[in-house]
Amino acid sequence: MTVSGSEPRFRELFAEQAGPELDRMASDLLALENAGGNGIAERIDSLFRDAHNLKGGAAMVGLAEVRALAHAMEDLLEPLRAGAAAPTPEIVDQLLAAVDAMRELVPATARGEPYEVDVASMEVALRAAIPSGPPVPPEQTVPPVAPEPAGADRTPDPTGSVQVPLQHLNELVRLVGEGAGAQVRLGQRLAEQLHLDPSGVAEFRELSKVLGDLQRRATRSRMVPVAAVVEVLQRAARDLARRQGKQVRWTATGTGTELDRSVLEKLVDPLRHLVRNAVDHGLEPPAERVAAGKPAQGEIRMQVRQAGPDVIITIRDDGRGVDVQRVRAAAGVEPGTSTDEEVLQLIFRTGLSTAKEVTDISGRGVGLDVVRTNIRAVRGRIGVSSRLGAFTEFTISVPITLTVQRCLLVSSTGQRYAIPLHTVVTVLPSTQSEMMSEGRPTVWVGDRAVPASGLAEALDPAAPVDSGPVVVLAGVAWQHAFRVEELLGQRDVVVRGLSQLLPRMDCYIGVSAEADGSVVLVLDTSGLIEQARDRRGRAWSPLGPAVTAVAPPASPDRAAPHGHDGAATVLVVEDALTVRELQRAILERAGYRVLTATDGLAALAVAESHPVDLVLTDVSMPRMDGLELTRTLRSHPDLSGVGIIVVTSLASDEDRRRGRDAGADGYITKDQFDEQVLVDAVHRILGEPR
Amino acid sequence: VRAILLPLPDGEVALPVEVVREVAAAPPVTALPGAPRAVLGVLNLRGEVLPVLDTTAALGGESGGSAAYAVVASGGTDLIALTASGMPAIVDLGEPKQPSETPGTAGSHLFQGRLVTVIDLPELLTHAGLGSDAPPVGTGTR
Repeated sequence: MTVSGSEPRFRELFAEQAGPELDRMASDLLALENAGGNGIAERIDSLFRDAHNLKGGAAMVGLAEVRALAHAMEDLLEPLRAGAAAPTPEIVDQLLAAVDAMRELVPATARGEPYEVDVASMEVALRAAIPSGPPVPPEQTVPPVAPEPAGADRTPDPTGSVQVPLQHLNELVRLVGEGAGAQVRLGQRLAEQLHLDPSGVAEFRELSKVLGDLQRRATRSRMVPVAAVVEVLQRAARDLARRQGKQVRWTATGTGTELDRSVLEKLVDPLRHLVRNAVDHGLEPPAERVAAGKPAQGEIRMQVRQAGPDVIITIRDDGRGVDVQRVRAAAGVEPGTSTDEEVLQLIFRTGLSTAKEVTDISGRGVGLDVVRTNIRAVRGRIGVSSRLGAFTEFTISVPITLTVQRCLLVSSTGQRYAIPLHTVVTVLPSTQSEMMSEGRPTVWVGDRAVPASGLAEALDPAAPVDSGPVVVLAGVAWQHAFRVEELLGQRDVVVRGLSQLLPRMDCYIGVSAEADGSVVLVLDTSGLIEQARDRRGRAWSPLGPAVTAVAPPASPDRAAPHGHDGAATVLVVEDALTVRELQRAILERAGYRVLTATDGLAALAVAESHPVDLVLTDVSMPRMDGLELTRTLRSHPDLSGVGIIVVTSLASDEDRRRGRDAGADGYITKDQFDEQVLVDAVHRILGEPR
Repeated sequence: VRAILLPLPDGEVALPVEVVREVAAAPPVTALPGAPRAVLGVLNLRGEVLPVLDTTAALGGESGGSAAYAVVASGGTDLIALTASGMPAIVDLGEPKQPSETPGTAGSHLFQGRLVTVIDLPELLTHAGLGSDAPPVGTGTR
C-alpha cells in the first residue's frame, strides 16, 4: 500500500501549515513598507523562503494552482532578494494580493472546494510587476522609521502549538469552574458530616491547589496577544492610504498584551473602522500636510497597554483633528452649554457627521455609533480627544476577559450584586446625603454633581429604598450614583451569560454561580445607568467623557463633609478602594468622623477645605505619594499640626526612617494591620472619641 | 401520555415526561429584578444557572411567590425550571378529552376522575415573554 501526498489528510495538513506562513508573509510585506532601511533584507529572505516552501509543499500534495501562484510570487521576490530591485508599493500591492488569493485558494483546493481566484491572471500580474531597471533607492518607496523591537509584530512561531476550537476551551473553563464548585461542596460535607476542618486535610488542600492552578491555566488558554489582529489593521490603513494617495507610517507598540480571544475578536471591526477613519478623515493629503508644516507622511500609532483588569488601546493619527465647532453645530449644541471635551464625545452619536462629502468610506454619520455599540458589547468604553490641526486619539478600554471580572460586591434589599470594579469611581458613606437638583436626587462627587438613585429602585421601581453607602459608577457616557444596602467587598467573579431563554436585560452582564449554590447577579454598569436615567427622566446633560473615569478622580471623593459635632475627624488617603473602605468602616465604628481621598493631592485639597485632626495615609499613590503629602502637610502654614499615620506595605527599617523623617507620627505596616492596631494607633494620637 | 404532574396552589398541570430532566426540592431562587412577570428568578443547579418560571403566573394566574419544588425541563436551547407547590409525580394520563383554552397548553386529559391540562412548553415560554424571540427588557435604547 502506498502513501500519496494527494490524500486528503496530507492536503489538510498542508493547508494548516500554510495558514501561519501566509500570515507571516502578510506581516513581512507590511513591515517592508514601514521598515525603511532596517531589516529589509531579512524580511525579503523570509518572504522568499515562505513562497518557496509553499511552492514545494503544494507540489508534494498535488495542488498545481497553489504551486503555480507560489512560483510566480517567488519570481517576483527573486530580484528583490538579489538586491536588483527595491520593494516598491506596487510590488507590495501585487504580493499582498497574491497572499490574499492564497488564503482562499489553499483551503479550497486542499478540500476540493470551488474558489473564485483567477490564478492565471494573478500569475501574469505578478510577473508583470517584476522590475527590469536598476533598483529604486529605499527612500523613494517609504521613509524610514524607528524599527519595532525584533519580532514585536511577527506572528508567533507556530512550532509546538496546536489549534483548538474556542468552544473546547470554553467547555474546559466551564468544567474547571464546576470542579471548583464541587470542591467547595466537598469541603462543606467534610465539615458537616465528619466534623473535619477541610484545611486540615492534606488531600483536600492538594485538591484545592491543583484546582486553583488548573483554573488559572484554563482561563489563560483563552488569551491571545493583540498582535494577532494588528496585521488586519495595518493592512486597512495601508490599502486605504494607497487608494487615496496619502502616505502613512504605521507604528504599533505593546501588541504583546493579551486579551481574551472572544473580546479581541469583537474588537477587530471597531478598530478597523477607527483606523480607516484615521486615514480618511484624519490624515491630510501630502501636499496639504507640507503646506501646514507637517511631514508629508502621516502617522497612525496604535498603543496597547494593560491597566489592572483592563486593556487600554489607543489609535492616534497626527492629522487634521476634529473641528469641535462643526460638531457643536451639527449636534445643535448651544454655545456655552457644554465644554469642548463634552461636545467632542457627541461624535459617537447616531447620525452625526461633519464630513463635507459622503464617500464609500465615511461621511454618512454612521460608524462611530456602531463602533461604540460594538465596544460596549464587550463591556468596553471609548473616548476621544483631539486638537484641531494636530491629532485625533481614540482610547478604548476593555476588560481583559469577560469570563473573570474583578467586582465590587454589594447588597441591595437583601440580595447580592456584583459590579465590575473598573466601573466604580468611588464609594461615599451612608451618611452622604442627596441634594435635589431639578427635582431629582444628586450627590456631589468631588466638584461634580452626579445624579443618584437607589440601586433597588433602578432595577425595580416597586422595590424598597436602601439606606447604606453610595457607589458612584462610570458607564460609557455617564456617571451615576447608586445607594446600596451594604458593601460586601471585592473579588474575582466568574461571569456566565444569562440563559438564552430570558429576554435581553441591559442591566445585567450575566450571573455568577456561587460555590455555595447561590447566584450573584452581575450588573452591566452602562445598562444600569441607562435604566436609572430612564426612570428619572432623560433631562440630564452629559457629564463628560467616560474615559476620564479610567483615571482616578482628580478631586477628593467626598466633598461634603460630616458636620463637626465634636468627634475627631480622620482623613483616610488611599488609592485602593477596598483598603480605603475597610479603614473607613473601622474608624467610623470606633466613633471617628471619616473623610477620604484617593491620593496626596486630593487629600491636600480636602484638608485645606475641611477640619481634619488626623491623616491616615498610604505611601504609594498616583500624583502625590504619602511621604510627599506628609512633608507638604508639615510645611503647610495651617496644617502642620495635624496628626499623620502612615499605613503601608513598605516595611523595612529604611522605609520607617523615611516616614519618620518626612514627619509622620506613626507608622503601621499592612502585614501587621488589623482593626485593633489601627484603632490603638489613632487613639494614641487623638485620644478616644467622645 | 406519560407526564409529570405539577401540583399548583390552585390546581395541577402536567408536563410531558420527555422534556423533564429532574426535580429539585426547595431550591434557593434568586430574584431577577426586571425579568418578565412570570419569571420567579434564577436557580443555581450544580453550577448551571437556570431561569425559574412561576408556573401559575405563566398560565395567567396570580404569582405563587415561591417554589417548593422546581421541575427542570428542556426549553429548547437551554434548561428552565418550573415551580410546583407539591411533590411532582410521574403519571400516565389518558387520551386528551378536550382542547384547552389557556395559552401555552395542549389540551386536557382525564386522570383519576379529574381533568389535567398538559403544558406545551415552547408555547408557554413564548406566551410568558421568554425564548429566543423574546423582545428585550429594559430601556431598549442601547
